[in-house]
Amino acid sequence: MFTDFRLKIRDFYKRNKSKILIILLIWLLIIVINFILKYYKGPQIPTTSYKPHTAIMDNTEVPKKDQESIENLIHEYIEYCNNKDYEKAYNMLSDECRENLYPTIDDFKLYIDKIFDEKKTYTIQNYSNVDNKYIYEVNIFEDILATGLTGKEDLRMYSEKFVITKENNKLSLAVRNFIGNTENHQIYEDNYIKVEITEVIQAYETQKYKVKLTNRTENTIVLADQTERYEIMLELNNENRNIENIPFGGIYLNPYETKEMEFEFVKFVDEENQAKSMIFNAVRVLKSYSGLESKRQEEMDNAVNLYSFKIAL
Amino acid sequence: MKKKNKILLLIVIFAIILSILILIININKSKNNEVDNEEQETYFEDTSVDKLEGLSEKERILFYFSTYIENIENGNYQVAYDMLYDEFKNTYFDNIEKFENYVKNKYPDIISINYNSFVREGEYYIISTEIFDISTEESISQKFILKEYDYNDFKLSFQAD
Repeated sequence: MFTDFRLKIRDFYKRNKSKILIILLIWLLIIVINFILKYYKGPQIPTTSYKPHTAIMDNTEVPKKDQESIENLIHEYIEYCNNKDYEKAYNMLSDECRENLYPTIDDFKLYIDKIFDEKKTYTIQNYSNVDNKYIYEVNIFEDILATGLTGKEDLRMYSEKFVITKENNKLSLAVRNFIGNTENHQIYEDNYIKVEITEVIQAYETQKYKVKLTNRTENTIVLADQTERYEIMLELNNENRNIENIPFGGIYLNPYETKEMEFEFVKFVDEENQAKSMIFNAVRVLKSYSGLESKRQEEMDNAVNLYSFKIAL
Repeated sequence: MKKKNKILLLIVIFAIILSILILIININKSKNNEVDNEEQETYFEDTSVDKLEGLSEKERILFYFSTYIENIENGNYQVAYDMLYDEFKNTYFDNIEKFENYVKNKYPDIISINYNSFVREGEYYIISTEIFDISTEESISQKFILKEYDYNDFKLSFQAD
């Protein structure tokens, strides 16, 4: 019986000799490759907690193929600033950024001279990524490795957001938290006032609305003078936010006056809460307006109208 | 005959693939060894990349720093001097004698260090220290800046006040 079994195996081997050899070879090859992958680690780089291209806000990562280009773009810009090569640095900025922040190169020079008063170095950290915009926090400070912080108590740094936009496979740069501006033409009008919103300027953490206000009456119209708690607000999906930049003396219109202003609200570019409307919550049409606390009640008692309205955005 | 040729061909192909793989590994290993040797000559006599790989980021940076301090303590001023960032050296210690004088006057013979803080700013590490003279119990505060380029490859500077 055992002889018969041996003969069967021998016969099987003879008939499938080449197949068995091929299978053995493949099996051996797999073992060798596995062994190599297990023990060969390749060149190692030091691991650190520094992840410059991973967003702090949501842990998303900037696509690998763009990381080096972004680093080079920022490096080039900072080098131009360090070398006071104003024109080259200025030309690196997007048209929108230049028009909104630095209409002339002289404006830009003032900014550069203030920040780059000595040779500076920098670090980058991806902060947030919205649509095709990569937002990096850039910390700019003295070249500490070169100075050793000699003569300084602590490291002082200047920080701002750089926004790198990818369009048609090209990267463009905006600085000082500037994201972009969009036209948003909205109008409210009644017998007393006409309010026109023309444009929204988005920075990383604020929205600025360009507003044209016209008083259609022979009275003074007060929109905000900080005597009421909620005077002008941005209405979002689930909260209202107060205006941030009421000037000293308040926002008011003399009889038949037209004013162009910018209303600023806290509104992060990467938050999901969307702006729905602008609320004018304490419109006061007054026969007379002094701005004095002592006369306020009397002026309010004689008001032509006290009302509120909102403009959809 | 045909079958025999096929088998022979398969064995040859397998042998070639195996040889190429072994060759690639050996080339890479020898490259790594060359880099290690160069760096070890500069900074460490007996520190391997394998050892550093096993350390955490903070441990690694503090290890570099303590190696610098050890070299000063042991009078290996040239080795310590070579660890300084070039621009820093050029500004504050343009020759080894100045550096030697500085450390001899600044630090005690036996250096005892308290770490007040360890901060990373991008690729830079800022180590705030309190350096004690055990014999007099006097101390000085000093910050050190360190940047690591690769394992065993770093530069540092310090408050040269």
